[in-house]
Amino acid sequence: MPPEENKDSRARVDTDAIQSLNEELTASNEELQASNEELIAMQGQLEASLEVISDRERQINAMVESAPFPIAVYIGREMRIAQANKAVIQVWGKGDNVIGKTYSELLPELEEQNIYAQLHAVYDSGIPFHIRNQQVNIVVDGKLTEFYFNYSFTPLLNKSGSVYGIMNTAADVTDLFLAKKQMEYSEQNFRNMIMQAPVAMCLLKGPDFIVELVNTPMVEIWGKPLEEVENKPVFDALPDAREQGLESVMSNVYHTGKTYFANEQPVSLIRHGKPEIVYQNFVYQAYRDTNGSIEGVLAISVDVSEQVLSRLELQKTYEQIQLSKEAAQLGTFDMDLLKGTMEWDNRCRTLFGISHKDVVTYEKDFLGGLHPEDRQRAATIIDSLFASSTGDKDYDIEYRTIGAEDGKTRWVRAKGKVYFAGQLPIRFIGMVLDISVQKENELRLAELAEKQARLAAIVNSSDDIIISKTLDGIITSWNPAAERTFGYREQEAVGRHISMIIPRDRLSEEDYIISQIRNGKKVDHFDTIRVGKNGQELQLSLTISPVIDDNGKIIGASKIGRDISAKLAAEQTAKKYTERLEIMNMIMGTISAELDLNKILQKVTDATTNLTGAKFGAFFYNKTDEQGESYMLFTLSGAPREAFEKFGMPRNTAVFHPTFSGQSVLRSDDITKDSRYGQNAPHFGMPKGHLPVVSYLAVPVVSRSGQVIGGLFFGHPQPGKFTEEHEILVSSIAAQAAISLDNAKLFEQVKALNDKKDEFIGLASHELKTPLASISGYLQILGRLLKDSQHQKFLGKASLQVSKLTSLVNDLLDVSKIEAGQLKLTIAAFDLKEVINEAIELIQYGADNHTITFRTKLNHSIISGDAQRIEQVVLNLLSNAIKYSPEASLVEVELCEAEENLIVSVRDFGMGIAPEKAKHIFTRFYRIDEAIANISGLGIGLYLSHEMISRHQGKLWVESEAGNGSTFYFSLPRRTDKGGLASDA
Amino acid sequence: MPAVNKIVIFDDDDDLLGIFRFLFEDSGWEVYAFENCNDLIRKTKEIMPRLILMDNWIPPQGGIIATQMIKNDSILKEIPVIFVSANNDVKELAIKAGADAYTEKPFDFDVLNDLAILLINKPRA
Repeated sequence: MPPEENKDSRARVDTDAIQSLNEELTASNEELQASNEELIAMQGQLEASLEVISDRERQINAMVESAPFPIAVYIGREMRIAQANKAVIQVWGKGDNVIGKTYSELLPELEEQNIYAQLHAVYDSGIPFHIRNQQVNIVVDGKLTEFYFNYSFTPLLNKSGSVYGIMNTAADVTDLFLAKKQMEYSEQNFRNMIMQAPVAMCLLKGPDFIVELVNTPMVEIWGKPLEEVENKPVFDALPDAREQGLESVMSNVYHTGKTYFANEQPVSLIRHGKPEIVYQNFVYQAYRDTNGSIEGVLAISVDVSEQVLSRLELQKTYEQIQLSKEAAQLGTFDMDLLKGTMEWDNRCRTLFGISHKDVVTYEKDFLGGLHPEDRQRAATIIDSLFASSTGDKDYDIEYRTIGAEDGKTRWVRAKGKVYFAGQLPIRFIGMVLDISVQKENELRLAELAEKQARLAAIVNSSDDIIISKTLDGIITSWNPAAERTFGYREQEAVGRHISMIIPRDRLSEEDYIISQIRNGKKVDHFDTIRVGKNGQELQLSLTISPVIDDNGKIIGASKIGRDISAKLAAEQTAKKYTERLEIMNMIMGTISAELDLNKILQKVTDATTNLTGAKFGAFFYNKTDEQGESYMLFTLSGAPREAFEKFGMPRNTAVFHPTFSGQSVLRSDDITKDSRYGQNAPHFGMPKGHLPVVSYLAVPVVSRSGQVIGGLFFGHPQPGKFTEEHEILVSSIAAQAAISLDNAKLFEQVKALNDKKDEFIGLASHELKTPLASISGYLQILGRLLKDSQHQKFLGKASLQVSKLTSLVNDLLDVSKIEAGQLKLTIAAFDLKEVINEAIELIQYGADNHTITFRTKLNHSIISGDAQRIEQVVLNLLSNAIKYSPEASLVEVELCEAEENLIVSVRDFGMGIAPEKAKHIFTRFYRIDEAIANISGLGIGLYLSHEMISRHQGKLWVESEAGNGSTFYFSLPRRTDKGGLASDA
Repeated sequence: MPAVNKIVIFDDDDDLLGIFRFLFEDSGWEVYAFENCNDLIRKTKEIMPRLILMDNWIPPQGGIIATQMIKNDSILKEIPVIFVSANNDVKELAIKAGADAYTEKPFDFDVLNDLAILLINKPRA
């Protein structure tokens, strides 16, 4: 900073001058001192001489004459020069011829200078006069010359003691005086210099640094009134300065004499009552006296606060720029086109993916660092800048860099300027900025815009309602489907609140929806109702999703709605249909399970009354009894039987006619207003005491054959209670009821027939067996009467045939009982082995051609069951085995055990059974065709056996092969407990 | 046989009554046969048989009620009753009637006679 430097150096020059001046002054002082001493010594001598002179005048005169300093003696008041030595003659400069002249004659120029008066005073008073350094102007060589003298006028006394003359002694101290004068002048100059110096200066004296001299600038720096500092120890006046170590610095100067320089020293001072920081350049310099000993310190200070502050300000500004550059992530480049060097700052390097601090070049690092697609363009632009003679073209370009080290692509914006010297480009400076994010955003925005355009197309063409809204429910978009559905134009809807399409009673839905949306949740398939512009209600299925901005913040909701009115209607119909089916199914379930006519009627009545919400319901049913006489049954619901009984059966009146004729359903919101009502005698309307019927529904019940079998009637005291829906339902139920009633009727008939059949079989068997018993009895009587063995043999054969016939009758009877579920078992523990043995014995008796063998390893074969029935099974199997193996001679019976079962097998070696036949053999009345030709049987034996074994929780099965005999097995559970076996019950 | 064993037989069928009479008398029984149960208790009390043979199908009230009448009579109740029927469920009927034994029709007289002997020799409870 040149001005600062100048000031500084000037201050230093001044200091130098002062110093040399000081030195000079000191020298003069020394000289003066010496002269004085000399003078004093001489005066002493002179005084001595004067004493002697009175005695030895000559001696004195001679001495005076030769004295090196002026001596003259004036006699008389006229001051006639009596004596004048060479020195005084020389001083006077008026020539040697002075003796005898009066003082005033010789030195007229002194007339004006008061000296005459001095002489006269001494002469008159007798009092010596001394004066020092008195200016005396004497004309020397015709010229008035200024001298300075120390001189004395000493009265000369005669013996009487009166003054007769004056001795004048003098010392020419002109040189001395002038020197002193000079010195004083210097001192003044010094002081003046201090006082007037444009820099702050002060002179501090003594070890306490008393402020002796201080100029205005210093007072200004100190910021204290002059009187507060003057003649006071400076550090008492400025205690702040002491604390800042300046006192010790100053003491150091005072004691060592070493000058202290401070540059831009910040000193905090209370200035004008305020604490302030003052930046100072200052010098503390020892102030020496003429002897060179240190008397104090001269302080020179320049207030550089302004400069420092402005420099600091500048620095701050610079730092701020730097900071903002960093904050803006600006990088700088500076290219010296003459030297061909390029400076990149860190940021700039970062943008080119360079982390080192080494030298970078335009070719390699700049052009090389550019994205290949941008390189040529950038180079061209820069070249044209350099070529531009005007140099006013700004450089502003966007390019991509590929990081030299990280390979990362960055978008960079560069701005700069080329500086020219004449036509020559010399410098290219500028800044670079990373705009990757903006660029990406731009690209994304472009992409987004395209996406949005696509989306808009979809939204516009969608058949679904697509609406968006803010979280406050303000509609922000409204697609054509929304326009069509709600009837509001987009312009009408956007900006309005969504509640305009929400029915009043559903406003709370919006709260729910928005609360879901706020939580980032989607509301899916929300079936609801919304209102269109013309007030019509619309069934909608809504899906509402949160709309999320780039920051992930939920800013609104998009609503996709589908008009499901048609769908709902269909669903409603389907639901209704289903419900109807369910109701019917339920009723049908109960009534079809029911075969009791009265119960069916009651159930149908109850169900339909309930279904229609009727107050009263009745079912009138025509029945024909066995005698073919027609009568009517009825069931009631919602009213006591007495309410009807007193009126008798409904007659075929105008109101009842359509029902009892099966013509049609009659449904009336108010039957009393029907034209058919009240036309018949004797009541002409409802008889007194009749149930109060207003709403009326009557449905004929028609059987499959088309015959009207009855009617369902419903009533309600209030009008308009029965709907078409009820009519349809009741009609459907009536149709079903008709079927059930038909079935019940059929069932009654079947049951009656079945009962008859059972009765017949029972009777038949009794009637058959009674004569058999008689025949058997007579045969037994004959057996006792006939002694002839031949007779006995025939009797035996006849008895056997009777027992066969009896067993056949019994089997038939069993079948009928099984059919009727009346076969009863008598359960008791018995030994199966014994039963088998007995059966074998019985069969073997009548089977001469076959040998029946029995094999078992079991010792214990007690089981629980009906022994007689099991024997019946064994007998049946054995007789079959023999019957169907006419060629064979062996039947093998075996009893064994398998797990919890006892298994009995009967094996024959006969014709066997083909597999396709085997499955039928346990069927009632089944007979194998091939066998039927020559083997008799009713085909009930195996059927009965199978039933018997089943009733014992056992199994009966066959293993056989045509031509290879058959083995019949039956198994019986070995349990001896009662469990599971059907008993007499 | 120290004393003659009396048997009362109720059966509506003439043939069977004849057959029972023949066979039981042939076996040494003193047979009292009736075609119906009219005056059943009185008749039986007059005879005081060792055994009664009761057919299921006996007029007027039927064998079951007849048997129950006998079994409800303090004097007659100790007399064993064999229930006879052409019905297959003779056993159930006999139990229902409270008879002591039963016999199917057709019957084997030897078996019936053995049963009768067994019953009259059975120690009284």
